[in-house]
Amino acid sequence: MKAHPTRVALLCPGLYQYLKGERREGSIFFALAAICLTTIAFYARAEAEADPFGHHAVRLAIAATILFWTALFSALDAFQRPGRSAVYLILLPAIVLFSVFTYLPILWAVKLAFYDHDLQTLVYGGAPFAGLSNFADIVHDDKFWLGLSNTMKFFVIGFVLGQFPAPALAYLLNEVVNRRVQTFYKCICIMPSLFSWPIIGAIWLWILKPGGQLDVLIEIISLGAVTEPLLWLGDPATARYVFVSVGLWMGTGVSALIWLASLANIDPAMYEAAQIDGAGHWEKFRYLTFPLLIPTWVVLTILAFIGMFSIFDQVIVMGNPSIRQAIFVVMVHIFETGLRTGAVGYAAAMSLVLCLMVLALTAFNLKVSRRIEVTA
Amino acid sequence: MKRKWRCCVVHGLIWVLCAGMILPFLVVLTASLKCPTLGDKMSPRTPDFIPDRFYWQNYLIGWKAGKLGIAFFNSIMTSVIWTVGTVLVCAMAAYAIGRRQCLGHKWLLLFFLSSMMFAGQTVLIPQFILYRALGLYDSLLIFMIPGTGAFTIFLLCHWFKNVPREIEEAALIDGCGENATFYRIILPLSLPALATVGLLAFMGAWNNFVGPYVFLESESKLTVPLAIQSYIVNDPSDEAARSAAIMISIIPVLVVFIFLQRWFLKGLSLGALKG
Repeated sequence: MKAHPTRVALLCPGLYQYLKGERREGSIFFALAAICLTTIAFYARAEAEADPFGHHAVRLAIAATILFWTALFSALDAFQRPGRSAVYLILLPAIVLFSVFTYLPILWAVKLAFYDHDLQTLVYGGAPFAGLSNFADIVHDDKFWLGLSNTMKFFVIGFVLGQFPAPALAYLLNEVVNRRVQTFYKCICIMPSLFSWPIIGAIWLWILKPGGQLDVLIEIISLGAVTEPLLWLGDPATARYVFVSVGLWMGTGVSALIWLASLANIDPAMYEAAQIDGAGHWEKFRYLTFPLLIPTWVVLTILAFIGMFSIFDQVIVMGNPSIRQAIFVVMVHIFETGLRTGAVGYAAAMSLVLCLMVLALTAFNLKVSRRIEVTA
Repeated sequence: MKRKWRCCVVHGLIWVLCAGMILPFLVVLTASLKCPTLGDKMSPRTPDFIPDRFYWQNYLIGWKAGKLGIAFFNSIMTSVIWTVGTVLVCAMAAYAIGRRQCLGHKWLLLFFLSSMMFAGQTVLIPQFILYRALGLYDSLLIFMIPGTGAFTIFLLCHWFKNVPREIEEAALIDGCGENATFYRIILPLSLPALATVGLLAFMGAWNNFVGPYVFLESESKLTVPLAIQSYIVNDPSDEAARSAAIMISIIPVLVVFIFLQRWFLKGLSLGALKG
């Protein structure tokens, strides 16, 4: 579209005020202009490459989104008193970026899920409308349900193994009186969570390989009773436990910090009151600490559950063909159907179902944490 | 006496747990300094973890074979640009929503926060198609486009709300315009919050693995996590050099962490609570 200045200005009263000089605050306008220019640059790049994947519909949707928000916000701004800064134009970059890069893909996924795509139609278009058949296929897809059940198993193992370490660590850290020493311990504990999965995975793959450091350590501890190399990541039965353990090793420090924060939040006056009433250590724990920490426990458990749906990184990094069945999660299935075989419609349908599950969990989480805020 | 004994037990137990956290890193560190061809055992049976002679050559081999030079360049470039852009864009939005409380600020906040519910990985396929359509597939630009930090907006909103109004009014009397107020007063006063969310955003960008794994393919566009991953998959023979490559990618993060640990501790406990 040839963008004549007056035509655009008519569409956008706020911008028009800027251009006429009724608003003097230039810096925000420059930031805005920079973002618009980058968007246009992307557009031009896509045009120039003539990528067969370049759907005009996508570009049109993006242009429409940007235009819509710009027009709306500058119109809103025009109603503001002159001399006040353009409060809606400040919002514009964030709104546009969120709409284009977060919400547009979700809407796009909804559309894709109703079409029957393969590699051919992905490039040349003309995919037949499939109705709900993609969603119906999920019901009979063994791999999808295998992925879900593996996710559940991961969660159960993590739930059982993860109950003890983080609260124990938090309790111990809370006993440390010296702040500096406590900070030092905290730093060491969160160190594993600073690094990305390929690095963590590489370290543990090397330690866990047959005849690796862990096997040697076990041989030393068992005084030479166990000498044969152990298959930590080669045996489907143990692989799942190893996966969860490495995840816990990474996450325990951060959960301990959260536990510690809620431990430190408990009012010391309550303990004093309990002391006066003649409560011992056990009573204080049973009737004060324990009930006050239950909310934290619930939130952390739900967070762990949601986190289990994004175990994808770890599976890519630490997986191998011999344990594929044991660690196969839904995201891997979506990834393989969507990007390897090109069945984008089906992959999008699975994404949506997974998304809805996570959404329900998040909503539940929000509800629970709100109730906790009320009671706390 | 009893107190002292208790203190010893607490510290001892913490040390045991901390050792569990730190030992894997130390094992890799010692392995990275060994030379297998000179007879150093990579997984030693006797406690000779520390090799007699440090073999620094491994680091050079690992750096070259892992293509870490280009990876570091790409990672630093994308992470820095993304973080600066995101924090700026989010601060602007948070100012309008949290400080100015523009008409419909509650709805706007809801608009931003709802994006957190769609977990990043579930929209991978449509994002892939979107980037292809924009001609952005296999381009580092994807990781420089700012502004997908709902949590950043949320945190900054809360912070901006609590900056005292008097300072702003004083500035207004001194003839400070509305935008100058934002850039000269609100932003400098919010440096602690900006540092926390900035660090959080930077770590997210630096450690992003699935994004580059799916959207990038050419060798000149490796990022650090991607480089480590492909090095380990493609070249599993030289364990010492591989450990060195891992150490090279760990050390910068560790140095930053040691200097900024206060912000890290604050940010991580906040970041974990975001849900």
